[in-house]
Amino acid sequence: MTQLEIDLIIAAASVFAGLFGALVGLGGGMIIVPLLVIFMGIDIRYAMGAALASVIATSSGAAAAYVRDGLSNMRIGLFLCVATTLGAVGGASLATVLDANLLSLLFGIVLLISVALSLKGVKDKDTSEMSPDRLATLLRLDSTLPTADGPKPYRVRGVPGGFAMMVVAGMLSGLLGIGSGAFKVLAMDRLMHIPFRVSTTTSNFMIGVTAAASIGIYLKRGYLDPALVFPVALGVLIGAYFGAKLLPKISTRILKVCFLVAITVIGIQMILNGVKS
Amino acid sequence: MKDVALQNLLARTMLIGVAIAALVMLIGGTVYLFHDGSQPVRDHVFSGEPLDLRKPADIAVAAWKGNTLSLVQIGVLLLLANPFIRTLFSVLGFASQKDWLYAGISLLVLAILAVSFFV
Repeated sequence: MTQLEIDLIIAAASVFAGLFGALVGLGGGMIIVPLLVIFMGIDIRYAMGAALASVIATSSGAAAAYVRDGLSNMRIGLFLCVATTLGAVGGASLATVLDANLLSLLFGIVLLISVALSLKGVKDKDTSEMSPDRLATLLRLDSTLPTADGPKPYRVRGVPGGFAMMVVAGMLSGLLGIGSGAFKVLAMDRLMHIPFRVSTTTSNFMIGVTAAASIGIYLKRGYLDPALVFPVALGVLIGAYFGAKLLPKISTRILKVCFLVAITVIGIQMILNGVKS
Repeated sequence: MKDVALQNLLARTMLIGVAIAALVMLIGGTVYLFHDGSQPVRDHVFSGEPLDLRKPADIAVAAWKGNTLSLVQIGVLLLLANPFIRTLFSVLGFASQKDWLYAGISLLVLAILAVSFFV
């Protein structure tokens, strides 16, 4: 097979990954890595490097809309980026000393956890009547969510727990070359009681900054193969763009169930890949 | 600068930044495939990329000499410059609001990014 043929196949797979990543809310990076590793036999470290580059591209594209609409809370995002970037530096450094099989095993496990997290329902607690939290007040994290009936105030709690969870999310991002959006949302939505919509959009803003903290380390270690990065990054970007356009127009329930089953199988395959050798 | 103005500035920077990076990658990638597309697939067993694809200065020199893969790598560098610029604008935006707490927090994030990239 020639370089042109393989790059076209990789680009097509990446468009697919970006499209479905956006539709099921997992992110293209989590999907393209196993496709490259299992079906194309590409070393997981090259796959992680390409995926992390695509994560920066989609994060910036998606976050731009949310930041402009005032949905993502920049103060929460930047404050928590201290945690995720520190975690990411640790995770990327760890990735350089672990072998490919162990990385594959960990990737499979994290993929399965992310699927489980994405299945959980969304229930926002009304925090507007709660007494203010001392740390959240000090950091001025409380804000308002734009709704049809005007801005709705929310209060943030559980700052230390959320911060600690963000260190973990950052570590996973650097360790596996993923956006780890599911874990960031977990920290904000579950531990800090931030409204779901604010959590997801703020997570999108943070993903790119987090990824930037580990991609420099990937570059220095030679994980970024340009011949692989460009079809993956451009493909995922295009796929994610159309996924976001398509999302409000189609019913994703059945699609989502089918897809999550497929992802679960792939996750198990990644684990087996890691254990086998 | 008001929060809204800062939000608009950030949103525009993000979009333009990604568009430029994507364009450079697309051009570099197309030229690369045009020249070398008919070659057999490179071995994807991990050996790490050659050293001239790892350091920004070396990448720029090689790209200038006409190495198409280095041009793609420039696109990658532009892509990863985005979060840096985004964070830098946050520092400036918060500072212009005299929000020193958040100017400081943004600066701390920027410092972590810089250390991870340059050290």
